[in-house]
Amino acid sequence: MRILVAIVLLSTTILAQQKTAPAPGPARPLNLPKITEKRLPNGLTVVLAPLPNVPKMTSILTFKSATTASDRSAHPGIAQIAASVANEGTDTRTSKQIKEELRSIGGTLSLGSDADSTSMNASALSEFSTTLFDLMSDVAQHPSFPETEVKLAQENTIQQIRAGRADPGFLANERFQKAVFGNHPYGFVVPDEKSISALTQADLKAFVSKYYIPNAAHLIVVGDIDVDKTFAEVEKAFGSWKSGTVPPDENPPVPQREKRQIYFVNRPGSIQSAIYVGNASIPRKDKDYFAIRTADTIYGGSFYSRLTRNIRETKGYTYSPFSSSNTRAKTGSFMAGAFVRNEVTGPTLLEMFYELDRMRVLPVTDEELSAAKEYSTGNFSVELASQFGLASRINSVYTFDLDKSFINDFRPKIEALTTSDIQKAAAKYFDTYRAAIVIVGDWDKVKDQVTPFGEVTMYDAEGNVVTR
Amino acid sequence: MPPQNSPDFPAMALLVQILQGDDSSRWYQRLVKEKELTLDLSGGLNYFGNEFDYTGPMIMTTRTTYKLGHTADEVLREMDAVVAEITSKGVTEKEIADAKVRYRSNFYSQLESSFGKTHLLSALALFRDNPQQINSLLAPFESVTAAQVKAAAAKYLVATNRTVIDRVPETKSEE
Repeated sequence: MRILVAIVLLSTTILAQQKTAPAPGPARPLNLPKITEKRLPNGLTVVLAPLPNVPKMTSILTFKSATTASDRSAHPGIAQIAASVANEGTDTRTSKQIKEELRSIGGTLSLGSDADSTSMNASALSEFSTTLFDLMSDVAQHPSFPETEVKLAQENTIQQIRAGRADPGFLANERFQKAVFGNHPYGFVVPDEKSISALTQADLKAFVSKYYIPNAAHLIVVGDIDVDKTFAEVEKAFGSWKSGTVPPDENPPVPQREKRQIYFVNRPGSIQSAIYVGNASIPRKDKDYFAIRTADTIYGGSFYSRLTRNIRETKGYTYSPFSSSNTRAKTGSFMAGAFVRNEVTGPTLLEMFYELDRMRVLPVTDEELSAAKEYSTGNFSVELASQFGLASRINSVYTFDLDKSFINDFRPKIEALTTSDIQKAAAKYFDTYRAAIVIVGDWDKVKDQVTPFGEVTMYDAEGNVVTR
Repeated sequence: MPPQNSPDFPAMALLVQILQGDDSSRWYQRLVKEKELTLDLSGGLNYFGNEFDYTGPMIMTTRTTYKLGHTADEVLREMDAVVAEITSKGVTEKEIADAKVRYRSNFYSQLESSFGKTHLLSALALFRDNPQQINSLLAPFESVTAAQVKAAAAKYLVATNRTVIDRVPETKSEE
């Protein structure tokens, strides 16, 4: 691979003297690679996209049935532990052999699970594609869950959860998910220690054979590849994988919130309050996806946002406030957050709600909207320039059953948004009237500032309701 | 670490891969898997950057979190034992070949995004006045031999050339 270098010293000198940044030029066309979809007889969907920016390849294998909800009543948290141990040994390879084989192809292979799927992310130099597919296929079909590796993962997970319970950010997020999603699997963040310790090798093997099945999976391959040759390699590696019975969807409906409420996690001695405010929103497929995403960018989802300008730049309450629109298969959430010193806990809530309501009642400015559009579409283009970025976007199209034209439509759909679209989305989803307010902090220090905002339920760090 | 223009430098960079480049590496396997002393292990030559985006002296760093009931001395003893194996017996031909593949793969990953590529070009322009070098940076690493890696271990990975920081959190008084 040759990389062409062109340096114009003269223009660098001129730029250095210029006082104001030049205006961005017009958006250049997105030159997306051709995306080819195929299917194996066992039901595995295979999606291939050549992106030869470097002589490497990235592949994502997603199991759509292996979610937080899967097997949740018998074994809470099993999807997480299965994902973290699956690449630590198969029937024919030890953990060390897998790592050494990956090393010999310049490769990586790891799994992670969330509320909507379990994904295996893998990469390698593209000259070693057959070895990579062979490893992926072996890990998907024959993980052996060696006792020592399971024990190690159990111990490490328990340690991580204990460390999390000492972290206000972890506690605020956990309480927020439970407040918004209740007993729905989306409200699940981490299992309790007893459930983790109870998992056995047999449980994990049974889980994988039931939920890691080709007819509820898709394989995305992006990189320096030839579509026909790569598909033949995929057929060879994954063709004998036996299909299974797709388990029924185990997700119940999301509970509806009736009123604004405060969920206070008491940590006596805290000098800061961790504040999360938000509500359930929309599924990933919803037509309002683009509007709420852009409303979020303007509200608190970017550095130029209203929340940042207000409580960071003007008032100095916090270093980095944030907000995010998280959309999932069944529903999503919108959330704003900040970590502030005790004395400004109430004033921060006041400004968060003020900015939310301002977006619901008044249109955003044209300048704000066009900056948000440039931010979103620019980031999108940067994302698609990398193999993993493009693979992830294609993966989400298949995980969430989005229109196949989603990637092509992204920019025009963002660009078509009007200030009225943003206001309507904010009015509908920035539901301040029924917001969940989560605060992790010292109750005695901040109670007088927060009680005006709603009824309070108090919790300890373990998640138990406690009386005030 | 040897200076970037030293003939020892590419051998040292591959030795870093072999010791701590990934989960198959000698230190990771010894500490996390075999002895189960630590939870994790990461590090590198110029830990927060790469082999090219600095000028002047540089250190190799390793960061690992040891489990409750163990000590930093135990961790160091195992790390030293791994280095001693390399200084006495060297590394295998397979290890050196794999380290080159791993190195090449990581190098390409860095060039994948326009930011990564720009960053490397700017470092080469700034520190070496020669951004064209981006096209030939890999070459010296491809010709490293196992004997050079063994020699680099003996020359640079010595106790007198090392600083250890053992960070132990204060014990919390009961509330």
